[in-house]
Amino acid sequence: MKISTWLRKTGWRHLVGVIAAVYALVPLIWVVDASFNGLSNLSTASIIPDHFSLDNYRKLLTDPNYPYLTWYKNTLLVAGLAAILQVAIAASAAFAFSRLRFKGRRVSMLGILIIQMFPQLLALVALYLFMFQIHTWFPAIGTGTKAGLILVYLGGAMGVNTYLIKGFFDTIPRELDDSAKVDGASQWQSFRLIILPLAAPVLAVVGLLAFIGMINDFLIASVLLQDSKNYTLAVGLQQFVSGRYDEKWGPFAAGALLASIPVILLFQFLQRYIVEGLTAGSVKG
Amino acid sequence: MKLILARLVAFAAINGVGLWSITTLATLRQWFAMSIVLVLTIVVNFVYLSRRTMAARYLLPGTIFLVIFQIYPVFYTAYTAFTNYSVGHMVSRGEAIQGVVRSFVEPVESGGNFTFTAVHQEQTLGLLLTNADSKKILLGTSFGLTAISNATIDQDGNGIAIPGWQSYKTKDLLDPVLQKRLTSLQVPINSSSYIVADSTTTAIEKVSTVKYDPVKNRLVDKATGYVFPEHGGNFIGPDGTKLDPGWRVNVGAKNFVAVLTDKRISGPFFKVFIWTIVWAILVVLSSFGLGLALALTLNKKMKGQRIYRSLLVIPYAMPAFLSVLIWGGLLNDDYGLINRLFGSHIPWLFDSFWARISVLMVNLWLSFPYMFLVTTGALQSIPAELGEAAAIDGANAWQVFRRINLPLLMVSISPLLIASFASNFNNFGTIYLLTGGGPSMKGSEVAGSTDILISYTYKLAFGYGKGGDYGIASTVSVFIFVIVASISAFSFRRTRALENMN
Repeated sequence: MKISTWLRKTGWRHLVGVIAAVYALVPLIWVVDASFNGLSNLSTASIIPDHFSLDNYRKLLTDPNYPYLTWYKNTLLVAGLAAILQVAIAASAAFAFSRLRFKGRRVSMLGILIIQMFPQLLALVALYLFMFQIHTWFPAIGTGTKAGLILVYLGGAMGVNTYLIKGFFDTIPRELDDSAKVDGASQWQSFRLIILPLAAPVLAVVGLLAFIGMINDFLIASVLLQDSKNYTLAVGLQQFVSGRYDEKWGPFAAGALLASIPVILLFQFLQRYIVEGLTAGSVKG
Repeated sequence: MKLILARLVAFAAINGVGLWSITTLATLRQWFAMSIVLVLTIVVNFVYLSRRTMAARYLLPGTIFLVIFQIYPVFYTAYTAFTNYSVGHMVSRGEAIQGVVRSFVEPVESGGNFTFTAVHQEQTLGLLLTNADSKKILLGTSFGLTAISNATIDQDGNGIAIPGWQSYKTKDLLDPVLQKRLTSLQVPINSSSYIVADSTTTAIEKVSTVKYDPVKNRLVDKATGYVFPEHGGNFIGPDGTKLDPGWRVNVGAKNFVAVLTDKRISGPFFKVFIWTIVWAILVVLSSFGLGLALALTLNKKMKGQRIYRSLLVIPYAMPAFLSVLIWGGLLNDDYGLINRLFGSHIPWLFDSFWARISVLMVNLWLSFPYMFLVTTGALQSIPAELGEAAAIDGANAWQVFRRINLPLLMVSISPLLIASFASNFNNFGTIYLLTGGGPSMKGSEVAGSTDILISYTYKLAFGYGKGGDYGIASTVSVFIFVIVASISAFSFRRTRALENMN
């Protein structure tokens, strides 16, 4: 095949692919470079690294005013715990919708669907005022606490997730729970011992997606959390670089890299499921 | 056996928490909240004890959270939109009167002098007071005074501890937060005099210089006789001084009228509203265009296809808040990579035109991978035979795409485009983390050129400097609700979610 034919047929596709890939990767490349070049300001970070140093990582982890490790732990704790509880709540609701027949079933499913169209963040002001009121009665779960943030996140547990999980439960043959019932299993036992284990992979995927979603939440976390030691990464890192002339970009790049690598890996691992979920109609942020 | 035990423990825990919350709210005299918790506890008990509530057992936990943290806030938003709720108008009328009366106090000449030990019971702060002259011991809280007979006393006869309360140690009192709570605690003796701490160990009696007149609904300065009649949630003096704090009042449709007609609010509101729509449309079109172009280009058997795909997904996989913050650095006008790379001096984030270009570019970067993924998926599900048959009939590649692939593609993609429009309508993250909504718009103290409705709401309520205007912020939220509801109603018929209902 002549070069010109190849170019016309396939070559230009590679050209487009490479340009698009560079476009997609610029921020990541910059972060890698800026975090390792040892300089803390923006001006010297370039695409091609000139020297290697871990200075920025040292600065990031030792700055007493910006406790990065605490934020990291807070994020894992809040997003992790909320994701587990969300899945537990969504799975048990999905079980009722999939396996039990009761009055008001269709209506409540429709209701959930309609309520979900109004994301929690639209009621942000009221959520804040409400949590502030809670704070005056029960300071341990009001504004300014991680527990309060988790509780607010649980408000979104019944929703898209319930639908996804119910859809999967519906594909598990009913004969399985019927035969368990014949063997004397209670409803709770057939949920706990038959349905849940079979659905474990789906539950894991739903949970991990919820986890990533909550790591990404800036809005609610920034409104509810007030004290630097309770911040999540999103709130903390925003504060970290909010000054226009701040010389914190190097350490910030280090922090951004440490925070995004696990999420990117998790995402690559989940990609197949996410693509399936995407075409089923859910949208990320 | 294990199961029964676990149930018992859970049962005891739930009722324990319920009872504890009820008593706490009762001591705070929050009767309404208390009855809600009481009803909730009874419902939980009923559902998990009755034999006839099988489905409710599985649905209750989710429902409780849904009602408290999603449905209730929506209604509360609507309610707040009809009030003057704001910083300075946070409390009820009664509390505000108390607050004003308490904020004008002066020491009483002949008043009692006390020494005290700071004590607490859970979160309730108390002063264990000993009268310096009579050595009588009293317990003072923000609710009032009680005489105490069973206190532990030291050699000087001062009370230092009482059963049921924990005493703070001297070193605890170094905590500035506790100090602040201590100095702001006023123990009411009657409707106008209080015992107030004036050091960490001594307290004195103070009396208010103003008095509430319940007949004429006004405050009166006892010394000068000035009157402060009430007006719209504040007591306002003859020279126009507002006494703080004010209180919440219903203002009817005032906020709505203000948002629509008051020049200072309606001007920025309509600009922000139009930009929000332009923004959401441009984001959907640009990301769909780029995603589709890339999907068409790479949807052919070629070497490295998988590598291209996993690289192109990276922007979607990175936590979005981080990407946006990183772009903020790249677009910095003085030191950012982009300006240095192109040798330009474009004020990417600080000029209203360029800031809009920037948020659009960054959001294109964030969202084209999603469109790339879904269009690739949709393209692969279109059978190749259709295109081949058309080609035999003499159609060229463009015609095949325009007449066959694109219409089929739109069937599965258009609901996603509507969903993407709806979610970008409220895409707070990109806007706020990149430009903070700025640069500021001419003629508005709050709104900026890149602000969309949700970030405008956020700044009205929580912004630095200005902000704290919860009533107006909620009103803007109500407008967003209406718009989102219309979009949803439109897309509802187009989603397949309803089929999942049986």
